[in-house]
Amino acid sequence: MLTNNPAKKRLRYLLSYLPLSLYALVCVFPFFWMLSSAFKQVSEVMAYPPTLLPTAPIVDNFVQAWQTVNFSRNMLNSLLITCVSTASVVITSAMAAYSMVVLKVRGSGVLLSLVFLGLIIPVQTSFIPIFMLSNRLGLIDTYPGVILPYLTSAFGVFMLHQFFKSLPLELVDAARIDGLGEFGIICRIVLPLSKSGIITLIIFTFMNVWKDFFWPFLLINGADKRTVPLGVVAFWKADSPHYGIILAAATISMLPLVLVFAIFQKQFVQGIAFSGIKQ
Amino acid sequence: MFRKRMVLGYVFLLPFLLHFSIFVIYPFLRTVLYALTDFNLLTMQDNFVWLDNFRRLFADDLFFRALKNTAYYVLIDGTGVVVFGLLMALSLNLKRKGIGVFRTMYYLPVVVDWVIVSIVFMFIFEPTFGIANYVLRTLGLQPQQFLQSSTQALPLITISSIWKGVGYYAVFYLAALQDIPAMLMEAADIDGANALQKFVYITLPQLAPISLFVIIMASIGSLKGFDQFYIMTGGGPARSTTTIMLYFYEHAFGYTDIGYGASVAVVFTVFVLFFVLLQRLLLSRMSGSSGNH
Repeated sequence: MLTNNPAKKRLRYLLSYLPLSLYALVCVFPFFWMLSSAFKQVSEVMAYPPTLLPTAPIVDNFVQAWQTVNFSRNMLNSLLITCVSTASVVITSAMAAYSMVVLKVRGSGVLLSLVFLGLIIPVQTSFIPIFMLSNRLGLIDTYPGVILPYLTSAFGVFMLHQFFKSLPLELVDAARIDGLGEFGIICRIVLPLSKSGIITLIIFTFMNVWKDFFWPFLLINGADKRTVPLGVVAFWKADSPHYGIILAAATISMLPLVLVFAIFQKQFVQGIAFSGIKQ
Repeated sequence: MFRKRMVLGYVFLLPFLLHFSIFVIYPFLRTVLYALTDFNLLTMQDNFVWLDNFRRLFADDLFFRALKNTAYYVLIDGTGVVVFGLLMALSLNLKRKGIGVFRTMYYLPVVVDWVIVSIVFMFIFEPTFGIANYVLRTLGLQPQQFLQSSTQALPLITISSIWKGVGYYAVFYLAALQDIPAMLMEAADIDGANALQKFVYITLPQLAPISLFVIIMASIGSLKGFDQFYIMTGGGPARSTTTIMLYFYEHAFGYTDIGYGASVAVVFTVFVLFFVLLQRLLLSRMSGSSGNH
């Protein structure tokens, strides 16, 4: 409407960057402050007035955090728990969704309601019985104990169910008429078509299991099976280290998440969008 | 062929169904049963006590305190993510050069876990050398106790939760904004509507269903909040940040009072189900009238 005034339009275009940048600052500043302080000496971390950047940057905090928290061990623990869980969720969800959508087994409707029920029941309700079960089976403080509840996910079944439904399934019928076996249909038609959905589920599951705190917190007592978030909290609560070191620890624990996010940003956002439909 | 496919279908369903029964259905029913007993891991007593746990629960002031704290948290957090989630989505929906960079920064709080966020917030709001008090002093204001104050701790954790959650809920608003028919905007342009009028009379009404959805989703999310409270304050000072999940944790796993803890879990589940039903009801009514979502 105001095309007759390009200068004004240009100014408005530029001005709109102001609120955008302001909110970006709100989002990023706490992380910048964490990073900056992690490179400071103890005296400077607690100095008043605070300095925006470290006057003489040091890496001692990171070295000390890495050793005291035993990050190498915790990262391996997290990696093991997360990878096994994610692999299992993706495989079992794909199988179940395939059975419901492509094979159209009888009772698929009832099953879908069951999956919905699984999405509604809060996981918090099941902590006591699963804990008791783990206790009876001697699984407290073990990898299988932590991993077992993560192995399938109603959300995963639901997501791939929706995803498979959006595929051109006429292809499957055509292939069947041409005599392609079930294995061929899965490997040559359905899997290639659902790559993006499966990657989204992998990223979403991976990040959620990695970030999960309550369940490993309940099940793990010893230092050698701690996940990354658990290790940082244990260090924080038990050793009450000074802020420079704990901020360095937080920074280290953030790296894997930021790395996955940087590579798979699109899938991460898509996973969120899918997690919305479930409610 | 058909039979073979059905058999394969059930084989494919088996792993999920088996696991789902053991880790979702069974625990749900077992929790309800536990709630009717005085089962305790320490004393090893296990008697059927009917509704005694619930009577004890509703006679406990601390439980109501926890409910009140949770209600505050749910309400403010829900309002916060709706308002700021909408604002963020509106900004990200602008056709601007480099908007992708802003999006990445906006999602950063969503990506990290609560342990990191809690530690950073504790550092920023540390009463003696934290940068928040430095800013207050520079502005000539009184420094505050923040997380160590029984009146400020809960609002502060709520703010951290809004800060962390906005990006997550903005994703839904962004999708909804892009779903608004371009036709509506064009028609408004022809009628000579300005930007504000278009926002108030077209965008906002079109976003009503998604807002409701976001509020309820955020409420359910807030109800489950545990990490941030456990790490930042542990429920204090003076119980001002004890939430229902923290109360549950203390009784079930702190005092190993399994029966009583289970009754808290049951009440908690009733709350969640209430929100879910409310959402289903309101959404189906809304979609009936507007045909959206």
